[in-house]
Amino acid sequence: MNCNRENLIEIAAGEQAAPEMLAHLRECSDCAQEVDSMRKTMALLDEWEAPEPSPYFFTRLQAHVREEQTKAPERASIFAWLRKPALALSLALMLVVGGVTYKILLPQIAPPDTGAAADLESLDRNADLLVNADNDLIDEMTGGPSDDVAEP
Amino acid sequence: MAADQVPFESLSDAEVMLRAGADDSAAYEYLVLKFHRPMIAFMYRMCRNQALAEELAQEVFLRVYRSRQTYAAEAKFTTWLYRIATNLAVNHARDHKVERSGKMVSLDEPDEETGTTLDVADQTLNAEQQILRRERLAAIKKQVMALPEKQRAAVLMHKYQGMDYGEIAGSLNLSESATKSLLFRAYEALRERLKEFV
Repeated sequence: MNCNRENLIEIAAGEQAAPEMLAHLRECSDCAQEVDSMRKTMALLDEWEAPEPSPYFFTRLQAHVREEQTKAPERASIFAWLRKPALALSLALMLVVGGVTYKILLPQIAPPDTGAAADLESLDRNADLLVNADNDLIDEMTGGPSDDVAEP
Repeated sequence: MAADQVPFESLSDAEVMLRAGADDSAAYEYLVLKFHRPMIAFMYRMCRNQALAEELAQEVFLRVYRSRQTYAAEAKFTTWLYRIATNLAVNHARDHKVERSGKMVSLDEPDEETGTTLDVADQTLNAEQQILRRERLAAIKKQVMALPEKQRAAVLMHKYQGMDYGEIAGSLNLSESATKSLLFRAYEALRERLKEFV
């Protein structure tokens, strides 16, 4: 069996190793020596102990969690989507594009000026003139009031 | 017995996390209680600063809380937990440009963050032995800190957190064979650099 040195970690760490690896160790003094040295290095690392957690760890974490809980209903509010930049940006973009499109298309949507409206207006004016003329004629015949300005 | 009354100890951590996702605050607290100590220890060895380690551990558990409803028990809970932790620690180190290898470790002055000396004096050792012990400890810390981030995280998970290759691989987003290789290189480097102390 060839020396597969990466497998030596398992043996040095006291983990379950393949039987053929263990058999190899009995025959290969280099690997056996490396395992021994690795084992000592790992034992050396045991000297590094971590400090005890501070007694305020839970209190602080609970405060953070409570903060998260109060944030949650805010997020669920009707305008929560406004806080999502992507959504707000999309909406703003839609409004801008909509406005520009409306501006561009407006002249095409409006009915073309054919002159018919002007004709109708002149007809209305003519009708008024005719009515006024009729009233004047009736007043003249009946001797009724006249709108004519009296000559000085 | 109703499902709700099953004690958390009889469930896997992933199952408890799923309960936490269903807004069972007791389930979340159970997980924090179970993992806070190893998490702080992991962070402490990652950044060598107790106050910062606790701050980062708080952030890990907050992220767990925030992700509780989207948590999918696809991997072991510890794999997921330590993936959050490693990313956080590595990003923090990068953001703050921690000069790991160049950091001097003082043997006599109290630690800048914990206010304690490097190690509590062992009354069974004489003065010379205590000095030697402190030197060893300083060298261990310095050489572990000098490892590249992924190697350091892998060694810490393997040596101190008792995680297996699969868990470490999942946490570091590597294959198992890559993890094995990473660990070998890390231990080899430590063996070489610490040989005068073994």
